[in-house]
Amino acid sequence: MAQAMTWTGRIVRTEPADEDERLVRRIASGDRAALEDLYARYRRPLFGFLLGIAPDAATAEEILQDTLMAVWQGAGGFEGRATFRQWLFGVARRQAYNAVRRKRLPWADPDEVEAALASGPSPETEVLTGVGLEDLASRIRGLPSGQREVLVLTLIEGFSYEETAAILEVPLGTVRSRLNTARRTLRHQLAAEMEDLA
Amino acid sequence: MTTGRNGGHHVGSSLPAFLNGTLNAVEAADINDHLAVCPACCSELAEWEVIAAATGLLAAAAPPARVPDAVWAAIGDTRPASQQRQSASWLASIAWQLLLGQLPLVRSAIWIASAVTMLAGCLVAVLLSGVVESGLVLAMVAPLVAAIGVAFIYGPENDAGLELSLATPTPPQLVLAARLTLVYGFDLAVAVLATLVLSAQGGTGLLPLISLWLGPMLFLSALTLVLSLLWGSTVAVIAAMGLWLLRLVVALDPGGSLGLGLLAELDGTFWHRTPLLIALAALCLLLAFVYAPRQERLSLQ
Repeated sequence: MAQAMTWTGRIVRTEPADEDERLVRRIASGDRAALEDLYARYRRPLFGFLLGIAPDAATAEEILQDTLMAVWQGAGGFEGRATFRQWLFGVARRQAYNAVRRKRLPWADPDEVEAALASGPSPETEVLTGVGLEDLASRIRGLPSGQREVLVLTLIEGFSYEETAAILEVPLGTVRSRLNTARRTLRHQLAAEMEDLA
Repeated sequence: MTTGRNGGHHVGSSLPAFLNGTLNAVEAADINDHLAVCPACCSELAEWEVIAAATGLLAAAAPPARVPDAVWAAIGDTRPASQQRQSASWLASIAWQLLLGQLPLVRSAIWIASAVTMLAGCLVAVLLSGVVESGLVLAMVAPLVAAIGVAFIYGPENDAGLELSLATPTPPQLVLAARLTLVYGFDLAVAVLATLVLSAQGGTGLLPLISLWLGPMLFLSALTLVLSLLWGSTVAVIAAMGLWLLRLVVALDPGGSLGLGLLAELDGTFWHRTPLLIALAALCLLLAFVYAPRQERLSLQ
């Protein structure tokens, strides 16, 4: 099994696609050990993704359990049209939506802040690089979930824009615009605070 | 990309992909070249690095050790769905749940308007029973009621929760089929009820009365459905009413005094060819079910 380290220092296992497909076929045939293998392999990236989009860790844990049960129940539905990783994260994302709907949690419209961002600091103004990571992380948690999920899928899980769009079932342009909006929102917030302090 | 002051193009929208290594070699080399001459994009790249590091903090924790045990406890002896014996009762249960799930998503006005219009049609038929054959009134009212109801069952203009629906594993065709079953089934039941009343009141046989409206109702509803998916509910309703108005004019002009000629002849016979109407309805439904997923995709763009 090959491994690769992303630029953030995370270890990404680069399993061949056919090995993943064998795994999902074993799950579909009722092989419990295969589900355990899947969990061992994907527990960190899946939980990381869910922590990024869920309102809190307890909900992320609950969605992770739902995701594993959905994979157990629905592995037979994997048709190989997308990669296994795309399919798996797509399942996790649907379970997250189900949890949000079930628990009546807020799932803000990712585009609703667009209008508030018509003006902001110029691109050359270094705003985000002057702030602590913990502070920035808490601000990212405050972004609409639609923006958080594209940040996690692209920057942390290493999906391409096309793969992210397929997982989220949105057009490619939406992935780009949500990334851009997320960055502009963070810059806008921090620039406004700097102005207040000055 | 936008044009930059260095004569090149800003590459901001590609920087996250540049960072995660998913660009191809040519794209990555282009961005490297651009970064060498563009301070603004260098600054943006630095911001993306910080955002990525901060996002990594959100997603850094491992799941609690109790998760697998909780999953196994929840799964119990359940086997994957592909391994379950899909009995008729299991399928019926799934279908029932699907119908119940879609019930609140259908506009409530459809039920009320359909029932009230059919009741009004029934009353008119009874009141005019000495003047006009009651079956003809029903034959004019029932298909139009069903067609107008069906025009409002699907699509972004009729479903505020479309994006959430898309996030569920239920295929859009099943959602459409469930709503169609609910609305058409309701209209069918109301029409049958009205026919029973008129049959008892006029002493006419039930089946001859039903045969007057069943074929037209199937075709007009299916046509309206596909038109509503293609061009929206308003266009579909206008088209259905236009067709029906033509039928009404032809029916009220049996002597051909309006000079509609061949059109009147075609229209007059068309609506009585039940097998043809059923075949055309099936064709429209096929088109609607093929088009439904595409329509959802387009609506999100």
